[in-house]
This record gives sequence, structure tokens and C-alpha cells, in this order.
Amino acid sequence: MRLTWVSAFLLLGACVAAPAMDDDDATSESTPPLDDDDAADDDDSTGVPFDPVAYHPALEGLPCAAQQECADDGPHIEGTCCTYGDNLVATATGQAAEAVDVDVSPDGQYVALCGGFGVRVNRLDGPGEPTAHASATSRCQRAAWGESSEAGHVLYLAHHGDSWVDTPFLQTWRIQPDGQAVQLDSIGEALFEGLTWRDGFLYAATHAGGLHIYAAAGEAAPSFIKTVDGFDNAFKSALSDDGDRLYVIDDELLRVVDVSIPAEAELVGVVELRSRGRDVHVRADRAYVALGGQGVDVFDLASPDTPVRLQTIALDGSAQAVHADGDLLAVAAWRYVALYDTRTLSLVATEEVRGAGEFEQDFGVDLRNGWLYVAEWERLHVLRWRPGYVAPDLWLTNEIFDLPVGEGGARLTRVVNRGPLPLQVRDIATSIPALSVSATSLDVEPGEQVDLELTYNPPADPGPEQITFTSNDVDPGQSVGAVTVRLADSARVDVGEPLGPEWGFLDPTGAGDVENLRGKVVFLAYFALF
Amino acid sequence: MPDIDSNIFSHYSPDDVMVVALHPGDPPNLVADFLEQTGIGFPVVQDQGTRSLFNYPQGVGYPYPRDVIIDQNGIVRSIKNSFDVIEAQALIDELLAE
Repeated sequence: MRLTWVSAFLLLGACVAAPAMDDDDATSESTPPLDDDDAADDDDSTGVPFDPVAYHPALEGLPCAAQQECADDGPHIEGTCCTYGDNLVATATGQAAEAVDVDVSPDGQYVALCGGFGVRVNRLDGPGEPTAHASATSRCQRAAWGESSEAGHVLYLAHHGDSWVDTPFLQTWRIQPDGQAVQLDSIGEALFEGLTWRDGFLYAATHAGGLHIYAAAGEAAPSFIKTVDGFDNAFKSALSDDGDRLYVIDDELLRVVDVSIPAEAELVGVVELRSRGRDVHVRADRAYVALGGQGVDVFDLASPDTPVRLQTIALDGSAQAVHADGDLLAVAAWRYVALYDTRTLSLVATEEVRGAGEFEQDFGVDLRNGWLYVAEWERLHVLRWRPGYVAPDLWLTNEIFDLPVGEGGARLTRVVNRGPLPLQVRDIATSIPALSVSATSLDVEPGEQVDLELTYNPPADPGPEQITFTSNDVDPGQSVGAVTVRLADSARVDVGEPLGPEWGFLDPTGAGDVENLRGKVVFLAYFALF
Repeated sequence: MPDIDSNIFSHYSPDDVMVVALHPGDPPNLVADFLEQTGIGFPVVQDQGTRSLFNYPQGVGYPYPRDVIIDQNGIVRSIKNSFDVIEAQALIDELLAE
């Protein structure tokens, strides 16, 4: 049965059985297409009826939810199994600083976000109520909470070293109830990367240095136990629920380490990944591995030492982090977050969170009891899973535009209403007169989409500008939103354009002539040590 | 980077495909240390301020990582923020077959 959005909405009372996961049906699920090239958007004209099932293929056959599992406040679909409304609602933001990693303390009191300007700790007065609490160190990449006591919560921080951090470190801090952060210890012997802590043991991935295991109880400095060798590039890790196995990303491999007796830890298994792993999380008998543009791989751990790939989740975007809890899997997919039902691996929600900077960058996610904590560069975003919540749901296909400052031009974004109630976008305005928009207000019916065109007529000074708007979408970043418009000194080289003479430094002959690059395919890989 | 090393640099003849990594100016000793740890075999050079001349892929603005494929005539054919082995190899194979 294939339901259109309208019929699904009208069929209140109809209940679609959750499809059982079939080992033979290892086809990919697909997240919403996010750009103009996607097949679901064949017709570019304004106001074309929008088929959300095509937009969200996994909406077909969504599992039924009991009424009590639906929203506990706000409007929701009465007397029926939940259907798609605005299932993931942003509720609050907290402090972060170029955040790339997030970890919620085991007792749920704190959220730590590591990033380019150190760690930022938010206190959780309630699961959706973050308050800036503390900050520590100058720069870090990974954080893991340790034990807690009346004196405070122990927090381990790691960095592999870069332009700003001469010596890699594994630091131990106490985050006190009064908001003070006290450094207790620092180790600088390896390129520390992913951290996992549980029950008095700390596991630190150290790239080619392997897996370092420490006894780390209370506030004591981590005491080295042993190194598990055999890794090319140990990156991040996750423990099984029983704590006996540690699953470690090693480039395009997922290695299994028996840590049932940490002092005797050893490699006991390995499975190939389809691409380099970015993150791993284990819940029950499943391991979830984020693979960037390759999506997410799901492994069956019925035999813990021999993970078996069960299914692949393809998504539009780049899976940077995964975290499973209960029946839900959260994925940080760079420019949006997604939730999947782990029983069916069906997509059940996606949401954009507006960044504090020019664009959205979701690099880390933690999921606890239906609350998502998203590391989005300049902010912590807290979102709540509320299946069946009915509201207008705004989705923009573009959240950033680049235009050459000296040339006029036009750009298009698509305003999509993914919710079952009418979306009203108002007060659409630009920050400078040289920028104009095709409409100052928009009404978008449920399941439909409307194009909004931006036009730039020079002159203007280089720099970031904005399109601002208000809407009746309840998400904070959508109810009062902004799209960034960047006016640059020169047009950027785009696909289809030639390299200019400034690229002569790539000339392998040393002559500085870009013409010497001709005749070969050139693959440029930008990277930073951050 | 390691997947570029194994799937592009090691996969194609250097006569056909030139792979270069560009970094924004991290200290050479740290770059060398990191590359040694991650086993990268292709040349690494410091970007000469050109990264900002590449357009950002739609909807994504953060400059790293970013992979650019340029054809034999010096024309940019692909700009991606997320390396996709299958997609990259398909494009390179197509270019080499032209």
C-alpha cells in the first residue's frame, strides 16, 4: 500500500503495520532529497503538489504508535496511530565552540561538547533545559564522562595535536557543581582520538598507536594498563552493552576487541566497512557505523566477534555521528539530523537546526530517552522526539548562497512544508537593499513547496548578508530564521570552470605553470588537522 | 585521507591521475607526523590561499574536507565535501575513457 501524504493524513484511524525487517530486503532507505537535482523534485515549478512519501520513502508503512507515545502536548492526531507531523522538534540551544563531539553524562546532568575552542559544558536542569555551566582546555576533539561524586563529575578530554596544540593530550578534569573546571591530570604520549569510558576503564584510540587502555576510577589519574596493537588508524570506539567487547573503527575496518578482562584485552574479530568509518555506536545486538557519504551500516552482533552486515542506510548528506537508544537511532548528517526506528530501520524524522554561524554543521549526536543533543559547530541543539506531533514543518533546500560581489545574479531556494498544517512564512526581508526576494510572505499548504528567488543587484560591500523570515513552524530556528547570503570579492571556481594561473603552485615540474597539469586527471584533497 | 590513498592514489597509475593533498598551513612537523600515522603516500602541499576560490557544494560551507576532481583539460568536474569512493572512481574512469 502506498499512501500519498494527503490520503495518509485523511485516513485517521487507519493503522499501518510496521514492516518486519527482512534479511533479504537489504535495500537502502533514503533520507529526504536535499537539493534541486533529486528525483523527487522532477517538477521545478512553484506550488507543485508535493508527495511526502516520495520525499520520505520510509514514511510508507511507518509503525503505529500508541496514543501515549504521541505528543503529550500540542496538537496531535487523535485516535490513530501516529503519522508524520513534525516528529522532531527543536526545543532549546546551549553553548558550544566549534563543536565536533558531544557526550551526555551517565546521570544526565551535563552535556559536554568538544571543539576548536575547548570543551563547553551545559548543565541540564531538565532533559531539554541546557544552561551554560563550565568551560575547559583550549581545544579538544573528544570528550567522555567518567565517574561522579559530590565534588563533581570527571570528564576526560582528548586531542591528537594540530597547529594550536603542540602536544597531543588526554586530560582529566573535574567539573564542579559551582561551575568551576579543575584539571586533574594530563598525558601526552600518543595521538589521542576517540574516548570510551565505563565502569572504571578508559579506552583511548590513538591512530597507528592502537588502543590504549587505562584504569580510570574516581578522580585518579588514568593508570595505563596496556596497548592493543594491530591498528592502522584507530579512530573511535563503542562498548557492547555487557561491556565485554569494544568495537573500534580502524579506517575501513571495524575491529572487535575482547575487553572482558581489560588487562588481557586482545583483537578477536574484524569486518570490512564500505568506506572509512566516522563513528560507531552499539546498542543491544546491533552496531551502527557512520560512513560519511556512504550512509550508515548496521551490523548484527549475535555473534559478538563476527559482526555481520545487516543493512545499509543510504542518506543524502554525510553521516558524521550515530547514537542509538531504545528503539531509535540518531544520525548527525552534517546539514540535518535524522532519526530511524531501529526495529525496522525506517526513517521516522529529520530536522534542520539553524546554526549560529553561516550554515548548519552537525558533527556529533547523543540520544537519551527521546531527547537529541546535537553538536552543531557553534551551538548545542536539543531536540525532542515527539511522534505524531502535528504542526507546520518548514524545510529549506538551501540555507546559504554565494554571489560574486561585483556581478548581479539570482538564486533559488525551495520552501517545503513537510507538516500536515498550513505553513505561513512572513516578514521575508533582506539585510541590504541590493538584495531582494520574490515574495515577502508565503503560504505553503501541507505537503507542498514554493520557490523563493533571491536577486542581487550590485553594488554592495563584500561580506555576509541575510534573508530573514518568521514562520508558524514551532522550531526555534524556523519560527525566526535566516538564510545566509555571502558576497565575495571574486567568483569562486565552480564545476565546469577552468583553473586559473593561481594554481601554478601545483605544477609538479616546479615551473609554476598550471598548463603543466594538463593531460592528467587531478584529484585535490583539502584537509585540516583539526 | 586514507581512503583516498587506497582508492584513488594506489588505484590509478600516476601517469593518469595526480593526487595532491592541500592543507591550510598546519606546521610541517605536525603534518608529517599525522600523515605518517595515517599512512598517506601522495604528496601534501600547503594551500596558497586558493581554497576560497572553490565554490562550496550546495548547502555545505565548511571548507574541510573537500575533494576536487579536475579533468585533463584543467576543467573542474566535481567538488564534494564528502569523499565517495564509488562516485569518485566512476567520474575518474569516465574522464580517463574520454
